[in-house]
Order: sequence, then structure tokens, then C-alpha cells
Amino acid sequence: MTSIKRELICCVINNGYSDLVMEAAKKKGAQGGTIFHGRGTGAADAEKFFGIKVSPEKEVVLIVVESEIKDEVISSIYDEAGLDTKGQGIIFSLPLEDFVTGKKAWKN
Amino acid sequence: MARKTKKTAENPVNNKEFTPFDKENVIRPLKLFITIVTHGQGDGIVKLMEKAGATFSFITNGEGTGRNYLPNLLSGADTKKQIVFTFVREDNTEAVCEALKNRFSLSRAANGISLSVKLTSVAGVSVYRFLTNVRKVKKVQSDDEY
Repeated sequence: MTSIKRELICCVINNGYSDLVMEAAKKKGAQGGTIFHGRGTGAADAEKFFGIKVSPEKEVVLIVVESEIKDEVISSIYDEAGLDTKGQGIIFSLPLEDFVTGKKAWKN
Repeated sequence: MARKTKKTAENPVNNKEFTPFDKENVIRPLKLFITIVTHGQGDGIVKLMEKAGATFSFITNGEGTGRNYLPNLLSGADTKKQIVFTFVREDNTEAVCEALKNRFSLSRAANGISLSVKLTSVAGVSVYRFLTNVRKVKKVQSDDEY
């Protein structure tokens, strides 16, 4: 549908860390994103073994970016809210087949 | 006690030879459409998708973080979004894209974005049949087999 190649970045993070993700993404040139809530289901025995508490409340952030800046955005998000941080984010990207929006005039 | 018969490819319960679905039928690939619209317009998008040939979609509530987002200045309702996930057969994509484009360019309030991702696999023949809405399309055998 469009000539520009775009990718969808999905981040699954702990509740309340979506602002960090969006800030990190916008720093590298992403325009905006969409957040919705979910509930995580981790391995309960592993949690006990390692002594970490994984909160089941999660937020999912969807960000559409152009393919060229995808790697930068992902690494930037990973630094801010990756698995090593409190956000405990899992970040992955998917290639988009089609991308449809309204007129450009609506944007501003 | 009655002996239980094992349900395998060689010995199915109904004594018919088991053949995989994709050997006998044409497989039509599916796409997942993710549509993000203003809160309250999700149902409209679902109706539009059904008109264009999709059978199944679901809606979740979410929040948008756009470039021009001014917290506290505008009412909070402005950033509320609905996310619609729809499964579309690949030969229906153009009709769906066209319908969405028309809808989004109606007015500023009706604007939104839609993206699609290719699906690689679906579990269950009945699920696949439901999602694609294909009743039955038999594979045409090539001439040299006769």
C-alpha cells in the first residue's frame, strides 16, 4: 500500500513504565504510540526460586516507526525499560504489510 | 473393560484414511489488521470490516501518546483510543484498505491508523475456516495425475 517500509514495535512492560518507553522512542524519532493494559502470566516457580516479584499487571505499547530508525528506537527503549531495569520490558518488532491513515491535513 | 483404540493417522476411529487439510484444500493466507481509532468508534470499524469480508474482530481500550499531546490542557478523553484487531483474508486486503481510507478521510474526528501483519500459522482447521470464511475450496489436480 505504501512505499515507505514501516515496522511495528511492541513492548510488554510493567504497569506504569509506558512513559519511559515513549520518551525513549520519541528521542530517536518516533512520532507516537498506543498503550493498552494486559496481564502477564509468568512461571510462578521460577519467581519463587529467584526471589523476584513479577507484577502481573502489564502495559503494552505499540509504536509504528520507519524501518531505518527501528534498530535505534529498540535499543533506546531497551536501555530505558529493558529486562535489566525495573520496567522489565520485552521488546520485539514485526514487519508491516499495509499501513492506512487518513489525509495528512488531519494531522495538525 | 473395552479396549481403547488409539487415534492415529493409520488407525483413526472412523476408519477413514487421514489426510491433512492443506493437501486437499487451497490455503488462503490471513492478515491481522490492528486499527487504532478514537474511543467509541471501535464498533463502527468492526461493522466496516464485516462489510468488507472479515468475520472476526475484537476491541480493547487503550491510550494514545501522540506528538501533539498536551496533558491537562485538553480533556483527558481526547487521548482515549480503541484498538481493533481483525483477521482478514489476503485477497480481501485491498477492499479493507480502501474502506478504511475512506472512513479515515471523512473528517478529523474519524481519523485513525491501521496496520497489518502477516500471520504464519493458525491452530485448528475449524478456526482457520471460521477466520477465512471459506466454505470449501478443493485443490484442482494437475492433468498428469489422471
